[in-house]
Amino acid sequence: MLDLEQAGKLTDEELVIRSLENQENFLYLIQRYKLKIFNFIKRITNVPDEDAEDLLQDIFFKVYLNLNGFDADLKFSSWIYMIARNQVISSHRKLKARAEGYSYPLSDEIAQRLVSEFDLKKDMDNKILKDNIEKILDGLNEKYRVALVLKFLEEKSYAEISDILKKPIGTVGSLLNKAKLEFKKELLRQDIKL
Amino acid sequence: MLENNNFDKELLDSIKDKKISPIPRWHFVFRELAIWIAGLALLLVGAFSFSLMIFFSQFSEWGVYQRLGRWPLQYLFIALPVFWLALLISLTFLVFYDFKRTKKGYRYPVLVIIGGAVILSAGLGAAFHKFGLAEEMDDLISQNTPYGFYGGVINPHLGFWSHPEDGRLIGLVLGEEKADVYDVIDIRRKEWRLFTQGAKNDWGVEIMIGRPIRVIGEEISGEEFKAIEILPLNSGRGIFRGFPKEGMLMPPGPRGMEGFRELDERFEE
Repeated sequence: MLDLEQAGKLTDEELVIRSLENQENFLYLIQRYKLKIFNFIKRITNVPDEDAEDLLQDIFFKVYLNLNGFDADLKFSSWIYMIARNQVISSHRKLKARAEGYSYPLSDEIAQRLVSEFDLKKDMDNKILKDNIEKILDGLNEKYRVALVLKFLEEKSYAEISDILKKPIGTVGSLLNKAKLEFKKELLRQDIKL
Repeated sequence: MLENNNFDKELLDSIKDKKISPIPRWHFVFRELAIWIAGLALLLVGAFSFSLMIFFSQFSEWGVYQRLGRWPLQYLFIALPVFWLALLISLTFLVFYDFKRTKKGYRYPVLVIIGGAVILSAGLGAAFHKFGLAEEMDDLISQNTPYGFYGGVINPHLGFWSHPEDGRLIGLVLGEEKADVYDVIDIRRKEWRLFTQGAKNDWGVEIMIGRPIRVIGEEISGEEFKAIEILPLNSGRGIFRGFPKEGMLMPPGPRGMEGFRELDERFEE
């Protein structure tokens, strides 16, 4: 098994190869992605933490099971997000508004990017901004919410989103445009002044 | 709980306890190969469909149909290879569905995949037709398909011509009684005495025993037909392969041994 220092120097793709050679090395992939995937689950579903952890476990089972099917032409992160999204959908949980009290971990940088992207008030307090953006995202259709979360909260590129959603890049572009329009409509509908 | 290392170790222990091991690589390779082979098979069948569309379309004979006084719309349905077109469209969508399931198929827009499938089918189909494969395929299909389905659906062109009561006769030449008088058996195994004296033959059709023939004319009696115009039979010739030919013992076609014996006794010379 690799030690922590050795594992830290390896790319995801190299860790995949090492995990196939020695099961123990899969631990490092889990460590790298558990928080990111957990946050992703929480951002697109309404499930409590315990259920999100169960989902997370199922996702990593699936990742390990399909490790030989990982296409090295893709980024590992895109691949694991694709499995995560599919697993969330196939678990048949309703993607409704998130539970009260949960707040997306939005950095100030992301918040400001959203301000610029959606043409919102620049001098708004970041906390108010974050609270309101979460409310609007909750009101959106699942496919738009996932697209916006991937683009603006997970900071994925169009190519990565294409690989995660398994759609052509052009379709991803259209989807994001529609998602932004829906975001603005939801903003008006909720009468939120940003 | 996620922040501590227990989750990671417990997850790994769970993998070991449940004896989860990675699916072998050959499984993924085999799956991808199977999808590609299925796609290529569908494309090939699509190409054959396209080649048969070209084959059937070239026998449109607009002039003949106009002379027969058919409504243009009615003729369109008879002359156009609707069955093959419908099959080609269905196969194209199946190719699309299949291609989307390849490793990188999702990256291509719908129009690119469908357009590519149509262009490949058309290109291959044109090549098949040029090398005579369409005609061979039609012979094979017409020989092995019940006439009702072949003449009614696959090649309605042929079904249209099997109406002696309306002046359209199609059949196999069994013998020559005398000059310009032939014994012919039609698709429904009815025998005719065909009179060809004075009939127009712009196509230069050579009437030969054992070969199919198509004529426009009129029914003189229940067993006699006077030809006004002689035309070649360009498709569906395989239907007559089940009929006995002079000097040759043929196995019975789709209509069975009984019909064969009956004809063999009648035309034993």
